[in-house]
Amino acid sequence: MRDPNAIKGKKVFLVEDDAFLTKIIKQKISEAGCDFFNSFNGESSIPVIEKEMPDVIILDLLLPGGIDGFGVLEKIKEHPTLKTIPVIILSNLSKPSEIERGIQLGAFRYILKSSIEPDEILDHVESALISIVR
Amino acid sequence: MTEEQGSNKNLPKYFGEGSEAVAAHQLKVPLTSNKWGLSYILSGGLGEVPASQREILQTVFENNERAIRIANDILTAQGVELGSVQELGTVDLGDLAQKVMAEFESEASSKKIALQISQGPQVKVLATKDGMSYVFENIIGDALKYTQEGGKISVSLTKQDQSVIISISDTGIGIPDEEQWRIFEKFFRAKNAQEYDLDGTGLGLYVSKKIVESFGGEIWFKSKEGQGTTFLISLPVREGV
Repeated sequence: MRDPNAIKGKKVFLVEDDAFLTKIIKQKISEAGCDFFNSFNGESSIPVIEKEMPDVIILDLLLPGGIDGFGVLEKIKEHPTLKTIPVIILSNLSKPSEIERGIQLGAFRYILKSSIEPDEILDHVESALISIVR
Repeated sequence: MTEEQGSNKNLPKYFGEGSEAVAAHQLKVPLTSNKWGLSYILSGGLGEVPASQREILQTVFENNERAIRIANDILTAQGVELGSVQELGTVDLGDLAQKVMAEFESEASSKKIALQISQGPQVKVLATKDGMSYVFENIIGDALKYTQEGGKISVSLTKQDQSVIISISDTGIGIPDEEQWRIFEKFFRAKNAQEYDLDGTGLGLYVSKKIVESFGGEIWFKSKEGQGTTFLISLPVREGV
């Protein structure tokens, strides 16, 4: 059972190219009292993450442009100050090899978009926040 | 409302050039958006939903879930064809069968179908848990789907020399004699199965066979229309573990 105050005031950053999913996730995250930021592609996400220093990152994998979600995750985990931010992968890629790759690169959790409903995203964000030892 | 997916040109990198999986993924993107949007509305995100509208929206949601399952089956089939399976490990088959059976217990109970399992000593095989889960879920799920109320489904695991024989038996509608040779064919569904249940892709047994064969095993069946079906799977036992 989720604690309604557990994620209040936290910063959540979403990297997702689907504007409709972004709108729904933004709505859910904002309703929970979090600050929401987003980027529609991989390339523009790193500078925003460096500036905003979110508490949790939700990351899609298939992204437009030169860098996909795996690339973004690699950059985050190699970055001296960003590497401790938990990253939740939210993707439609479902092959075991892709899931293993995401986890090996340091994702906190790998979630299949088609297997969850919007409300559940808050549970995953809360779990990610609980996992942080800062 | 959904933004054009700028990453479409990259899809062959993940799914293979011109493959069915590219089409399945392309379908899954809007289907997932539909699911999230409908779920948001149904959970009251835009205010209370009147009962008359809820019934229709719920039906649309369930049909959308069905379409997602079809796309997932196509993606699983492609994954198996490309050999993109996980690294093999030791799998305790009895334990796994019990877990899968437990998932179907409430559905079986609501259809008044008896679900039984009998197993001898612990048997371990070299396989993947996901792969064998898929096989069990598919065959037991089909047994449940095609068995009438009051019927019975029995699962047994028996060790024979260096192999384990898994038997999944039901008292369901069976497979017509003249169609039995096609049952593991991709996208094939027997006529009586289509009449009994519209929901199905004809990919489950095709994928199950590929998975079992990738673990060095074999799958076959015995069936009589109107009386039931028994699927048999033979897998080499992993000794010394």
